[in-house]
Amino acid sequence: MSWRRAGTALAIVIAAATLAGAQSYQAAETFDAVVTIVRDSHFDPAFDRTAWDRTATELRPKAVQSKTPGELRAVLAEMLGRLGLSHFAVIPGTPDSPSQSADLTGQPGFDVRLLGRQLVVTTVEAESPAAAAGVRAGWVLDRIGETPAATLLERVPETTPARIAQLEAWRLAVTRLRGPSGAPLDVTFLDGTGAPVRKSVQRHAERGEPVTVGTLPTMFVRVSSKQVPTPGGKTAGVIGFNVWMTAVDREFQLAMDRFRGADGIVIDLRGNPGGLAAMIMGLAGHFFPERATLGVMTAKDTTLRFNANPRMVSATGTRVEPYAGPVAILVDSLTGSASECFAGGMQSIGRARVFGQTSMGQALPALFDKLPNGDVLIHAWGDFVTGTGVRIEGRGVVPDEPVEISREVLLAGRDASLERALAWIDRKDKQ
Amino acid sequence: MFLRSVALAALFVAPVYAQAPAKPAPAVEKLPEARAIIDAHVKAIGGRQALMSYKSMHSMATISMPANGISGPMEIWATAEPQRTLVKMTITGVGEIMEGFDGTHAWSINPMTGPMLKTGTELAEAKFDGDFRNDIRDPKKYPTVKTLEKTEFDGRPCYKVQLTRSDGGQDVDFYDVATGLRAGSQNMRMTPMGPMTTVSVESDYKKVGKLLIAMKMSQKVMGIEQIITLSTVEYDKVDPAVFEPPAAIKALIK
Repeated sequence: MSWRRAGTALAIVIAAATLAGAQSYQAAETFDAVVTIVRDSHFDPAFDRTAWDRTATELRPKAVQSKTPGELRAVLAEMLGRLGLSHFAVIPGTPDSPSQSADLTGQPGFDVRLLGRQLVVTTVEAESPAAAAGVRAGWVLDRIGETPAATLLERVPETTPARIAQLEAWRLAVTRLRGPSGAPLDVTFLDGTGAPVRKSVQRHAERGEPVTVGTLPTMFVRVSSKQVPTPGGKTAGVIGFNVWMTAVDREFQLAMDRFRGADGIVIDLRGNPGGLAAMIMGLAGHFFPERATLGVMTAKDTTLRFNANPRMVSATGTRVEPYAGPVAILVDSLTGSASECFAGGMQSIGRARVFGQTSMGQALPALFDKLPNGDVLIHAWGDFVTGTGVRIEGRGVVPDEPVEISREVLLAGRDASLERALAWIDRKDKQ
Repeated sequence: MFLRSVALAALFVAPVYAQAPAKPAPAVEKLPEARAIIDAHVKAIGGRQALMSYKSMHSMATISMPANGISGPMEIWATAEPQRTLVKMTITGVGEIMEGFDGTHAWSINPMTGPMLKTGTELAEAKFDGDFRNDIRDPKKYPTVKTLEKTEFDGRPCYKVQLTRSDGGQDVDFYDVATGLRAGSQNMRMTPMGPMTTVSVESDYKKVGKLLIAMKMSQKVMGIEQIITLSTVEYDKVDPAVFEPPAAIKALIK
């Protein structure tokens, strides 16, 4: 097992919406295109192009001899993995082999995280097949079909760094939990007492606004917002979204307009793997009266500053002041890329306090290029450091207030990270 | 992912290109005066009188980023007096992006970053670049111009001309030796993310009215190529009301 196979969570998520179009199988051309793109666009001045060419020379025969798209992708993954960085991955445009369905557009409606050596249900989507079947947060995922979860986790050695283990375990689980929409899924859980509970769940089509950008597969954008009371009797607006696409912007704006008088804002980025990085400037602008630098991207020959653009206009076009109250951001091990740039940037300049678990540590801004065989190459385009110079790649956003996932808390229907954030808003309000 | 994420932002906020590597000509030859080269371009596109005869322009176009499969329709309006510009484009999956200059205020609305008023260098450059007749490279705006060399640009022999702006900044133009037409340019402009260098290649000149217009512009910023292809150009049919800033911008101006 190589943790690098995990690639980026965003790549996995968008790969789940695999393209169905027929593309020709062009191994040599595709391999050569990947080699050239990476060689010509790698952002790091210290990138050893001679070593990269040696790697390409070594692996090219294997790529050319590959008999299926899946075999070619395995060679490409090996080559890209040797770079040792996130955001170098291939999104399949076709199934790995003619006999395999790569349709992962259906999902059961629950999510999992690694807790110790167990996959634990952390969220159950409201009105989903999983919810209808009575699946509960806090249950342990014991079997997917006939495959024991423990067998899957054997591919994540105990020596794997925690941050990487989380991502790889999630990837192994989610690529099996998903499947064609409407297809049944048999899952066995262990409930709060440790008793096995077998459920048959019919996967449902992903919810949300479908968005297709360029050659990327369609993604489904979901934004949620609610006003909640704090333990101290104050109010907080909680806004969450699953991916950074422009369809989020207006919903976020509307939510901010509703919560402008709240005592605090909580932004929930748990499980959000990233998206259009430029959006962090727009959303952060709701919290700054003047331009502020969230972070700096250094590309091959350019440096770009991610400056928050003060959002001084409401959704209806009236002049407003950006929100000046306390801002909490919730992150977890599946918070990645643009979400990390945002959370890390807001944290670094003291505009937000971060709660939860250390994020993915995959925060290199990236481009995507269509390859000759119809696959899409994601390749890092620059390095990113926060406004105070903190590099997130390989480190993750470290919460100001770490909150461990607890089965007991989940089984009790509680959200520990949100509770801590709301309690902090109470304390801030008193200061 | 960029956008392109960040890629998208860079390009939509401030477009850019990459030219073929410039190669100095081996032979020593007397280079034409820069002002003569510029004037030859103006003559080649139809002449100063023709250029001055039009007061406004409206174009329909498409914009694309071939490597990323991104494309969409684009529309451009401009007037001479006062200098006003408006560009609208709609990118699938991203939304409508607008950039405008109404003679006083320069602004942008981008679904990634929200509405924005340009200030400082960005505003000054928007005003500078909004010159309807910028083919002339007005000596008041470019007090110093200099022919640097005869070189290869976009695969053809060109004169490389350095233009020093009135604000002290420098732009570079490339003029096709054979046709006299401008082949492209290179310049650095301020964006909300900092300065960015753009290299543009102009091609597919076509007679529209009294003028030759480059119907295709290929631009590269930070290695990312985008292509703007004009489909229609019409003169002197622009409704000034089009330059009225949207409500979100008016709210920022207040």
